[in-house]
Amino acid sequence: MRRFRLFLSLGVFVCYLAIQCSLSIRSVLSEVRRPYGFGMYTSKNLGSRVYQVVRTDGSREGFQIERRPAALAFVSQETDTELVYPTASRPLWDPRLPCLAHTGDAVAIEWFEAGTPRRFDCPG
Amino acid sequence: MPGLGFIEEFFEAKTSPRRFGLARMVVGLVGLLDALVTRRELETMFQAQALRIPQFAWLPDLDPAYSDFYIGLWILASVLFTVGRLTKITGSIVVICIAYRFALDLTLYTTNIYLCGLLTLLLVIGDSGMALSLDRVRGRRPEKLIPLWPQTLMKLQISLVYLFTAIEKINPGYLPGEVFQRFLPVPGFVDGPWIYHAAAVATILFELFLAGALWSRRARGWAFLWGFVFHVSILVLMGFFAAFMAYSAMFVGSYVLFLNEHPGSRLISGRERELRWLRRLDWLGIQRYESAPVVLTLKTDQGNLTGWEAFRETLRVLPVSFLWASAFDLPLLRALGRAVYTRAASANR
Repeated sequence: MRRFRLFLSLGVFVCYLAIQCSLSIRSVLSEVRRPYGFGMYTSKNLGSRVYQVVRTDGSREGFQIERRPAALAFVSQETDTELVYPTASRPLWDPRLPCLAHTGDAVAIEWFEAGTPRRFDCPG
Repeated sequence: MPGLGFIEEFFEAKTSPRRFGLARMVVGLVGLLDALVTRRELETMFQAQALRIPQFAWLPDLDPAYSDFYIGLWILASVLFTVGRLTKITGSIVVICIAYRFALDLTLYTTNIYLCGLLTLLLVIGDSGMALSLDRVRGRRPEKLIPLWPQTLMKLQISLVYLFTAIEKINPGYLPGEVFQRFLPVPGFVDGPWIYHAAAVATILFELFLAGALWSRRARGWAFLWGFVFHVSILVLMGFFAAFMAYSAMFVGSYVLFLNEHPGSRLISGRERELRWLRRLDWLGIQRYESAPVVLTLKTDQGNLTGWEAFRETLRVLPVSFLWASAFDLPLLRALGRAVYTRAASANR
């Protein structure tokens, strides 16, 4: 029993530290790489990236995403109009965000990352 | 178990439960605040036009009709956890409520509530209800020593946050100090980009300092003081927002774990009138008190201190004063403190 408790404590301690360290390192790397165009400490004007929403009819529209207090704004490059959606908090980035913002007619999101074209097919 | 001596020693070490009990009260209050914040955020999330990104498709969505029950359960559990009633159960409920918040929707992610969940989990594992708790007062559980390693893990967690927050800030978005331009008031004659850049660099260096200095017996007094000033200044400069208040409370509230003097390891003698208040405020039980018709005298491992020096050293281990006691190491405050103490002591004689 004593040995079991010892190994249980050791397991919890090591696993907890390993998980927290790896999450912290991942967070730092995401800040450096900015996979979605900006990091936590980057203002809306820095590192913003143009995304292309691909619609069901094959047409494309460029937009940028801005993080605002309790909201995300999707600013169209062509029409200079913006879609503003309330968000409960400051959401983490996920490629599903722009898909959901262009409800119904977005089949994919495309963007360039370090010169390489990327594409995310919207679920459903 | 041969070869595992160090590991055995580390995981079987016990400590007083009072530091953990005090940290539990602070983190419990933050959990309560987080429940109220979540209630407000759920109202936004339930708006028809709000963005929704469920984390897990298989997880049942929260019906707005049940959100009051969910928040009510979280609030009740937080209150009971804070006061120390059935802390393993109520703390676990708080952790589950926080985990459900994150599982519910990607847009509900908030770092300070995530940290509150982690700290609550460690307080549950470490049996933080063993002291300064309603269960203890009601005589259901006698105060026993508790394992030390969950406290060490919680201290490591605090250091990790400081360390990685500092590292994360080393990027082209933060270093120019643009975030400081919005709230840092600077007089006109020093205005310029360099002041914001300097503030950004200083913040990074300071957080790196805190990550290590809290573990050093020599430097921790300064880490407590400047860490306290740092977190209060964030609130003053950036506003008393719930997220900032929660962050500051969790960090400053966890500093008490770095006070690693053993209970009863110091003996202080003096007149009963002087000792009475010190004894009442020594919630961690670090000092033993001996009433005697002598000038205040503190016996420690490092030697004996008397008068103002003994009083100042006592302030360093009292929960109400350990955060700011090192301010009396500054020459001006030291002289002022000595003068006030001497005057008060002679008036009491």
